[in-house]
Amino acid sequence: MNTHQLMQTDVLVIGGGTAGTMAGIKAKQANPDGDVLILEKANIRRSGAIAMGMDGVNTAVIPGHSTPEQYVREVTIANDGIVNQKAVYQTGKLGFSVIQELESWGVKFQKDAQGNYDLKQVHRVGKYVLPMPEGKDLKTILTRQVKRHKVRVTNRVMATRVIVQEGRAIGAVGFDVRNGDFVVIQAKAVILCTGACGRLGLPASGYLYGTYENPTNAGDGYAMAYHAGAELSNIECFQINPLIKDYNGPACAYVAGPFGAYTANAEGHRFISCDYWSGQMMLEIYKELNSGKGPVHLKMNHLDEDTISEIERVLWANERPSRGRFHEGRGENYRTHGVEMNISEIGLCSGHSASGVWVNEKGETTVRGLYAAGDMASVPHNYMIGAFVYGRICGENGMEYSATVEHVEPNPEWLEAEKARIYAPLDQPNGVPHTQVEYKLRRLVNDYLQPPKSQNRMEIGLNQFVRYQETLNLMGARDPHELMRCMEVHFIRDCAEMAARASLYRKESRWGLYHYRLDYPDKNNEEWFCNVNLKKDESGHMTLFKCPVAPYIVEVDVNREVYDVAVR
Amino acid sequence: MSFDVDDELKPWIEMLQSPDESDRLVAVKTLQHLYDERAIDALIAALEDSSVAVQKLAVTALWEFANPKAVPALIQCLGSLDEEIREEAKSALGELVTGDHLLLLLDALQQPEVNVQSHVLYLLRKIHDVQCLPYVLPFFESPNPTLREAAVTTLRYLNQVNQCAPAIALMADPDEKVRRAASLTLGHLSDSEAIPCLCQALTTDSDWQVRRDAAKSLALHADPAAVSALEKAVKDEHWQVRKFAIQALQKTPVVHTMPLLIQALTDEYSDVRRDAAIALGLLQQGEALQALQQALDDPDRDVSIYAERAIAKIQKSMQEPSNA
Repeated sequence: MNTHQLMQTDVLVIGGGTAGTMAGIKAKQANPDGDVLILEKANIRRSGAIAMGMDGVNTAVIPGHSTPEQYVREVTIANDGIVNQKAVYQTGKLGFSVIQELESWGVKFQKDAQGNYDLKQVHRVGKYVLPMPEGKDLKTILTRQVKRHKVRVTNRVMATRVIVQEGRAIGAVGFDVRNGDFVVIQAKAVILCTGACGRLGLPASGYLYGTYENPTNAGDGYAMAYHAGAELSNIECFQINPLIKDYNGPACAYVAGPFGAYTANAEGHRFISCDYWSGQMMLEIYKELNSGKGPVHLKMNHLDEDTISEIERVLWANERPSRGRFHEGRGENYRTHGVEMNISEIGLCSGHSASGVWVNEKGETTVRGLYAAGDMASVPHNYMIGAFVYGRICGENGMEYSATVEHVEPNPEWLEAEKARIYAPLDQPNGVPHTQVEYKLRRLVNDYLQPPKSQNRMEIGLNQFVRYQETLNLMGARDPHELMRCMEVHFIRDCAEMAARASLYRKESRWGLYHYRLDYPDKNNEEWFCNVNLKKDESGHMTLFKCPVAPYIVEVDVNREVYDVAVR
Repeated sequence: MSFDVDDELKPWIEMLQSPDESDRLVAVKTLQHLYDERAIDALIAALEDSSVAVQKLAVTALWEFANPKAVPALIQCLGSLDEEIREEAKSALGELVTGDHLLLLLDALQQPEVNVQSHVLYLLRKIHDVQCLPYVLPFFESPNPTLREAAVTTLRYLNQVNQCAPAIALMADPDEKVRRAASLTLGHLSDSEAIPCLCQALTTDSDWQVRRDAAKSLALHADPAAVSALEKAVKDEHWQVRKFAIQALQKTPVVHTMPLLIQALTDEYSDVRRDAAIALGLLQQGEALQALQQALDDPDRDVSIYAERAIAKIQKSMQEPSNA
């Protein structure tokens, strides 16, 4: 154990999920002679948020149905105007070609009898949902393309820090989660694609890994980007979703809706006013859940046997195959029962909300040579197609950039210090188990950060998160796998501190439930129509600052056009 | 058997010949993970392994390799005695078949094997080629209702087919699943002969799903000749028939349907009420305003939102100068 492995590549992709596999493929396509390495702490065959497949695309901008401009408008309104429209536009513009390319690789999207994409309108505005009833093989198809493009893959190595020298990213360090080797990778460009911080809050079920997001996504990239000196943006815009109660998956109204199912209150009536998926919609669900008309459920029992069987076939085969067994275990049946829903734990995820590492329309972070894509990169409401698009953008731009620089030898003292930090838990194998340390940390997140937010609670939380560094030092690991879990708890703590500081900084309510402050219940465009960015300053402290919203390229009047909670 | 392989692949390919099933399982799984296309011939050979488990893994591996070379062998798997293998091969072929495999599929369609025939009829939908038509039509006469249903569904996916009398004839099929498939297919043909047949099914078929599917197809045709049958269907005993009949009426707004639609604003099912509100908005008649005002208080939020939009639409049309 603790053997030193040194690797070298032109473009290093950290994380082999949706964005990461696409980044690797596109970097290699951009320069087949360049060397591309995907680093993955699991195995890319089944890793990342789409590991077990995907049953639909939420943001398909298909010519003839919608335009990139319309898409930018919807996302601008859904995100209360706080967007870099140029970045959002890329998803609208390039999404169609990504879908076509995926299709050429064998990914199946639902088509109508004439062979056209069978788009569904799920909300009252926009027609962007493209079902994938055969989407369970998405990840294996991507893996096949990675292999075919001769992208190198190193599975079972977890990155812990990006190496930054001479003002630019020059590689990363980490360790092998099976044999414990210390791994140093020199790279000319580094692309972070590590997904959401899905393990921030604790699910109502109490299970550490029973999260909405893939539980292996612990905010690794958020923390690594922060420590690399990159800016993060709008971290206070949490991810919260309506979920099946006690089950770590969405009720899938996107899938069942086109078949006639709908989200209803206990009286069986629809109650959502909001026209599009947004924090406003979550606020409505939260209010209904906490009213006399709760709980909320996905209603299907008015549908016929054939329709319900088809819904079951899609839902139980693709995204979460355990779903059928979950309902069966509870004696529930869609023919007679609604799917009871609850509000999820909080997380950070730009794919669903807006919190992430700040990137421009080229996928560049504020650190030279460091790129970010997917759920961890701050392009609001980007979902899966956005992850593919930004994987592509980062892969191409990263490869182009890599041709302009040389490898830099990492500072040996810095490497030694990082090595000591990583392996500390192995020196105390009988230290506090990572599960206990993580559980307590995430209980604190729930207690003090779960919206609705209040200044007093968040200040207590922040204090706890800062002090928690001492608790982290008590953690022990008996093997490299446990060491991986320990390092994930470090990432979660970093994200919790960022979430608390950003939430305290923005003194208004915005994005519906995502940043609903009891002490500042109203939106305040005069003072807070801006991004809240944060970074690690030169003294090592977390600093927050306002950052103006970039000029719009698609006209939207955010004072007039809002998805509001107009509860009658 | 010789393969052009390197040292990494060779032991696993050799292990596929082991008399021990466990060894062969390990070998086929490893080859799947190695993703080396030079293993394709060996995996194709493994499709004939004596072990069903090995066969199934070989199908999965070939699916992941996605090399068209495996298509003929996978088509043979559609006739496997094992259902899982048939289904896995069908899924794999769903991804792999292209227009280049049309003749291969049509050949397979001649095999007197129901499983192969029904799966190939399904796969032909991925190709959309009108050349299939003469090969598909004989299945309309099949004694097996599954094949009749599969064939008339496939017809829907064949581009350039506008008229097809045998499909209309299937609306009288004794099997309701065949009639359901036929009624949906008729929506995709631009054959005016289909309208009376769909109208009859909408109002008289004993199966409510046939009636619902007829309404869906009539919405696609948007032919005023169907309005009378659709009016009847708005009073159907099944709510889904009522819902889709109103959706069809939205495509051909006729003022005299207004009282019927106003009545539908009080339907037991919210989806029916919502579609009635939308339809009334399209009629643009001031007489509907009072009923729509009442619908604003509907307990279902969607109904009230669409009633609000319908009112706005009607009021706007009343403000516009008449073209008369």
